[in-house]
Amino acid sequence: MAKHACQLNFLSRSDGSALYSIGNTVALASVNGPGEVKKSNRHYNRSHLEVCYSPSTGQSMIGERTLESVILHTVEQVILVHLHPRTATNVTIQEMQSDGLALSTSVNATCLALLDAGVQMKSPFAAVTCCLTPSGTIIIEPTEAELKESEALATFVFDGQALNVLSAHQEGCLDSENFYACLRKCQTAAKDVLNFYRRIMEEKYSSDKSYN
Amino acid sequence: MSVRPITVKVGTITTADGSSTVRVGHTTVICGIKAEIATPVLRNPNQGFIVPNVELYPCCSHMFKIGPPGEKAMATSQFLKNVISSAKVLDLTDLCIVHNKLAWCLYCDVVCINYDGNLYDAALIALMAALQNVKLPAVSYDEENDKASVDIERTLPITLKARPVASTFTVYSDSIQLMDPTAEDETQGSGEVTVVLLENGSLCTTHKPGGQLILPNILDTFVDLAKQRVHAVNTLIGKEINE
Repeated sequence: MAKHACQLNFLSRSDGSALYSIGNTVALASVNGPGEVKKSNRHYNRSHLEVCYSPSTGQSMIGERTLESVILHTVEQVILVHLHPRTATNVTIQEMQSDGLALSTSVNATCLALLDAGVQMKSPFAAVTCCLTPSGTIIIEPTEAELKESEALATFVFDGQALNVLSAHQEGCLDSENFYACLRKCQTAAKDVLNFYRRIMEEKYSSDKSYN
Repeated sequence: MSVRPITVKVGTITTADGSSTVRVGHTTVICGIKAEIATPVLRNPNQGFIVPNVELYPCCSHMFKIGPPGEKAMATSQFLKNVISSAKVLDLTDLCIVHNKLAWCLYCDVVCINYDGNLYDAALIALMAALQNVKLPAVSYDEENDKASVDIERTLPITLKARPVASTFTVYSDSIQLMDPTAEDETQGSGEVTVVLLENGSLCTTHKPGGQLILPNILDTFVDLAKQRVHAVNTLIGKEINE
C-alpha cells in the first residue's frame, strides 16, 4: 500500500478542510456547511449537497463531472442530511497532484474534511483503488505507471462500520473471480485507511496541542 | 424478478449511418450514429474515435430542464464510454483509414424520448444495436494530391469484438432489490447498481455510484439474474439486424 498522509484544517476560512495524499496523488478537500442555500435548491426536509471538483490543469470536463457525481452520491448516503433542513453543504475538491489515484484520494480527503468540519455522519468512509496486471497480480494503490500497464482498475468505497460497499467504480474488464479478489483485498486495505483516520483525528484532539 | 419487455428496431433514422430505437417498458431511447473523417491524434496515430453522447431533453421527463447536459446525462455518457473501452467492443485501429492521416470518428448520439427508469440498460442496448447497424463507406486516399474520396455506394459494416449487456438493480434495503427499475422505483429506492456482462455471461464491469450500502455477496445474485438477460437481449438485437 502507498503512504497516506493528511493535514487537517489546512484552510483557515473553511468550516473543515483536509489536504490528503496517497503516494504522489494529492487532493485538497474543503467543506462548508450546513449553511445558506439558494431558493431553487431548498429542500423542506434535508440539506442540499453540492460537490465541486477542480482538476489541477485544464478545464473541468465530463470526467470531472462524473467524479463529482460519484462523490456526491457516496457522501449523500453517509451524511445525516435530514438533521439540517433548508440548508446547503458544500464540498470543494482541488486536485493538487495526480498520480492516477484521483478518485480515492478525493473521497478520503472529503471524509476527513467532513470530520474536521464536524458534519454529522453515520460512519466514516474509506476508498481504496486496486489494479489487475496482465499477469493476474492485484496491486493496491498503484502508481500512474502501474495503471498504464494494467488490464483493469477498480475503486471501492467502504463504510466504516461493517465495511460494506458504498460505491464501486471500475474501468476495464474484471471477471467474477478477479472482481471478488480485488474486492476482498480492498476491504482489508480499507481497515488500514480507517485506522489512519483514527490516528489523524486523535492527533487533532490530543490534549498536548495548543490552539492559537 | 420480473423485467419489462424490450423492443429493438434498427435503421430507424435514414439520414444516419447507423441507428436504432429501443423500448424497455416505457423508456424509449433512440441512438443515431454519424461517421465523420478526422485526423488521428499524434499519441495514437492508427486509432479512430468513438464518441458517445447522451441527451436528456425536458420532453422525456419533468426531472430534466433545458440547458447544458445535467448530471444524469453526463453520467450515462461516461458509463457508455467506459463500457465500450472496458469491454473492448471496437478495435479502434479498425477505424483507421490511413495511418496518421485519416480515421473514422463515430459520433453516437443517444437521445431519450421517454424516461421511465433504467436509462443505462436501454442506452447500452440502443448503442450496441446502432453500432451493429453502421455501414461505413469505402474511402480511397490519393497520396499525391492529399485528397480523400468517399464512395457511398460501397459500404461495409464494422466488426464488433464484444456485445456487452447491462442490467440495473435498485436497492431498497438488505433484503429488497428490484431489477429493471421504473422511474418511480428509482425515486423511491436508495441507489442503483449496474452490472455489465459480456455475451458469454462473464462479468465485465460493475457500476455503483454511491447509494445504499450493499453486502458484497449480493453482487453474486445480481450477476446470476443478469446472465439470463444477456442471452435474451443479444438474440433480440441479432434478429433485428438480420432482417
